[in-house]
Amino acid sequence: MNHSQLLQIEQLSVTFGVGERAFRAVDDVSVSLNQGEILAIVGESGSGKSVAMMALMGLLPDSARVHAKQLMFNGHNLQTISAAERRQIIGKDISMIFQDAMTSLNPSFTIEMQLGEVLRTHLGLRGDEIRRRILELLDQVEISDAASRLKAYPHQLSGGMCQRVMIAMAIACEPKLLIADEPTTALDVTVQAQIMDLLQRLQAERGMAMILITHDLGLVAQNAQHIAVMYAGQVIETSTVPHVFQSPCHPYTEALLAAIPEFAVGQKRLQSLAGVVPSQYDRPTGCLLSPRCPYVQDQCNTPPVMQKTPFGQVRCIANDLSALKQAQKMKELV
Amino acid sequence: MSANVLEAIDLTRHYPIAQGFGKGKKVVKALNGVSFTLSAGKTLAVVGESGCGKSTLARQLTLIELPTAGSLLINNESVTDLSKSELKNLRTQVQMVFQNPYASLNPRQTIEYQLSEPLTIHTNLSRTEKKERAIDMMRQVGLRPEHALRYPHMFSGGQRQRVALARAMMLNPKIVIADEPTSALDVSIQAQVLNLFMDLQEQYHTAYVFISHNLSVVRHVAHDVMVMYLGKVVEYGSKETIFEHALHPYTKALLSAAPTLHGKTTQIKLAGELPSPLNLPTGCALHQRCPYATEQCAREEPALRSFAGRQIACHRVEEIA
Repeated sequence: MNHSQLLQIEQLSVTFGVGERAFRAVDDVSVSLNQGEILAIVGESGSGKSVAMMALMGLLPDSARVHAKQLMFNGHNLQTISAAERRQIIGKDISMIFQDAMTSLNPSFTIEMQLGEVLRTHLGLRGDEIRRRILELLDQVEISDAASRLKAYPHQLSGGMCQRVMIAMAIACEPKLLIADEPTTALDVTVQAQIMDLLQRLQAERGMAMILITHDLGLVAQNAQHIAVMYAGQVIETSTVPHVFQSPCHPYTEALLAAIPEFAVGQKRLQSLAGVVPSQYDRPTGCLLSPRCPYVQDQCNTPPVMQKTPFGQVRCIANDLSALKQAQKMKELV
Repeated sequence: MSANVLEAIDLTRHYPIAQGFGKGKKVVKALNGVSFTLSAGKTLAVVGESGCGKSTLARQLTLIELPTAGSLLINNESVTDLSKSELKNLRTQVQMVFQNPYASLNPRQTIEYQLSEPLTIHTNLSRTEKKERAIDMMRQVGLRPEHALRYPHMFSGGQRQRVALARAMMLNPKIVIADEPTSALDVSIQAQVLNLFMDLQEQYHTAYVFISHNLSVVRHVAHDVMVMYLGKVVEYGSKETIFEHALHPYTKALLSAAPTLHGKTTQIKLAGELPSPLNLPTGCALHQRCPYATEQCAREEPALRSFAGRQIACHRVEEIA
């Protein structure tokens, strides 16, 4: 194990329900992250990206069954540690920002009370120290006139401001890993740019690692170094950021990129995969993309395993799109 | 040039709001003098951040509300001096597709019922004819006839938005107002729905007013682009002029704030956030956030004027350009 490796998830799976109604929301997910790196997890809604992170944080309800070969964070095995130890880590060394800041903050407490709670619980601060630290934090997340905002309730702040408060809360204990679950989806583009700048600055200053969950590939291109693409609960491709855009290795990644209007400048139609993500009840046997995949072959009936690619891994019968395209051409000729 | 199907002149909408007992009323100036024209088969994209008046504009155009001032011409008929029954007829010409297909369809009615409802209200077709038309439209939006008796919860978001679009097209309207129609959808589904929008436009020659904050979507579908800020138009021109040579600082900031796949562009950053429409700033509405603002911008409100093939409201456009 690399000494700078911070997080290692191996073969994580999350199942809801039992018997015939059992549904595997996350299936065989393996990702790892070094200190100070930014990993983007990309996928459409229902692809399991949020559930995987909630499993890591231990935030899922008891009805979810979480299995993993390994779930290591900073030398701790998150599967075997006690609840008390877990509380020491979660919220302190790993913290999370949620999508909708307006609803993630408690509407009946002032932001001073909500920020103070984190500092009291995890850092044991008391009295004046708390207020001093809160003002410092609000200043770091660029909230102007912080002192006058202390007594504000979330509804008195704008969406961007609430998200800044959430970020302040998340970085209050100087976490080693920050999980940002669609941190800017609810915000306008100009505010989104401000928030992403802020996250990047904080990340660089503190050498914090970050997992950015998003469906916006533009954000990935500008912020992350590594990417994991998820589809129907599985990681189907991992890669590094400039390369995934130039040479995607999985047909789904290729389709995801082609569906972005930015790529289709000058074209009349956008390319899109037919159909939708398979639901709980109509998951195909074999490759989960096979009913929609333009390069589908006979071998796709059996579940593909992860293969090595030049910059990561891919869950497909071939580790190269051009091989698939070639095979498709041959099939058409025959 | 084809005739204008929609023309807005100085469209204004203010909402009075009560401040509490005995405190008098304040006015939210949601829309302040918006003018544009739209011809058949074209798409006008309205771009801006939340609170800029895009949705208020949609409410005026679809005749859900009547404007406080200014005039609106649909098919060269002014809506302000029509009787109730004439307005009802006019409404068949303007239909709307809403942002959230999870909320805009009635969960208790079948798809067939929802698609034939506009026909029930506005035509005298028999039940079988209505059914035929509904199924026909379902085919065109890529739904199968056996979907007719299903309820909205049985469909995915993309399919629901297809139903919503089918419902809007049932009366063969001249104008469809689409308020962020793809922002609730995933990118691969968004691509399918955008393709459908463009196919239908080609076939029926419908004019679209496409409200969106996603600039890459706008760039794909629009012919003309109108950028709004706090209820006013700040820049209005053809898609090419706006996207290739944006001049207004706000348009530039919007364009540079949108994350692109080709790494970072030189960003023009706006500080702060949108001021409240209850309390509009004096002078140019943008001056507190604009990097080019001068003392003149804080004092005088810039008028919309023609400059370099577009309309723009900025005092300093000559120096910036």
